[in-house]
Amino acid sequence: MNCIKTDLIQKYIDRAATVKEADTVEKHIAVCRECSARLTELRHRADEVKKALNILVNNEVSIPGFIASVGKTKTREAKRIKRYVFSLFAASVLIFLVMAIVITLNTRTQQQMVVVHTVDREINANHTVTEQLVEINIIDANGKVTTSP
Amino acid sequence: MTDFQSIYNGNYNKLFRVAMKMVGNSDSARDIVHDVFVQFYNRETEGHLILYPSSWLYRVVINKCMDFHKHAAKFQTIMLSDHESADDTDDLKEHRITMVQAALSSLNPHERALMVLYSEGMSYKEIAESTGMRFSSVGKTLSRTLEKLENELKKQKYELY
Repeated sequence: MNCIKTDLIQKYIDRAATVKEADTVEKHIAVCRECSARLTELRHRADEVKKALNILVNNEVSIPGFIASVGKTKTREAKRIKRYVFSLFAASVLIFLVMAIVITLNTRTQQQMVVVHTVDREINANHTVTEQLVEINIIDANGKVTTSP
Repeated sequence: MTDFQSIYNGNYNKLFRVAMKMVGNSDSARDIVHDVFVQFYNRETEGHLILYPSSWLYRVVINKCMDFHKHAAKFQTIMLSDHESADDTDDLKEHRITMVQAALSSLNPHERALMVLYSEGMSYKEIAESTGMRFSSVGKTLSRTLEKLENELKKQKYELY
C-alpha cells in the first residue's frame, strides 16, 4: 500500500486539502495505523508550534490612536519646491564664489608694483660701477616719496 | 475616513501580533505597524485604489519586518525586557520566549513569515496572498518549515510535548 505524503497530511490537518484529497487521506488512515499515528503526531506538532509562537505576544493589545500627518499628502510638491530652493541656493553660492575669486585675482593684478626707474645722477668717472653713489626715491600710489638713506 | 477607521481598528491587533512575532520587540512592532498604516493612509488619500486592504497590509508589514531584520545589524539592541519578571513563573515564561525567538531566528525570513502567519491561524490562501508565495507550494513549504522549527525548538530544549 502506498502511504500518503507528509505535506498532504499537513494540508488535511489545515483543512486546505481538496475534497478528493481529503477523501484519499481519510480512506487511507482508516486502514493504515502508521499514517493514522503520523496524522495525530503532525496535528499535535502544529498545535504545539502555534502555541509556542503565541507566547511571544501578550493577549491584551491596546489599539493606539492613529496619527496621520496632514502635510504628508503634499510631500511630493513640497519636496520639489525644496529641491528648487536648494538648487537656487547652491547656484547663488557658486556664483558668489566665482565672483569672489575673480575680484581677488583682479585686485591682485592692480596691486602689482610698477617699477619705473630713471638714472638722473651723473656718473663719477673716478669710481668703479660698484662704488657709484646711489639714491633711491620710492613713490607709492598716493604720491608719497620715500628716500633711501 | 470611517472606512479607514474600520480598516485600522479591524486590522491593528492582527498586524501587531504578526509584527511582534517577527521582530520580537513591542516598540519596533508598533512603529512598523504605524508606518504601514501611514503608508496605507497616504496611498488612499492620494487616490490609489487598494483592492484587498487586509492582504496589502499584511504583505507590507511582513516586508517591513524582513527589512528590519536586514538592517538590525546596524543597530544595537539593548535588551530591556517587555515583561517585567517578578517571580519564577515570569522567569520561566521569559526563558521560553527567548528559546522560541532563538528557534525562529534560525529560520530564513520567508520561513519565519510563513510560521508567524500560520500561527495566526491564517488559511493557505491568505498566507499565499500575504507572502507572495504560490498557493500550490504553501502546503509543502509549510510542512518542511514546521519540521525545521520543531527540530530547532527541540535543540533549544523547548518542551513541545
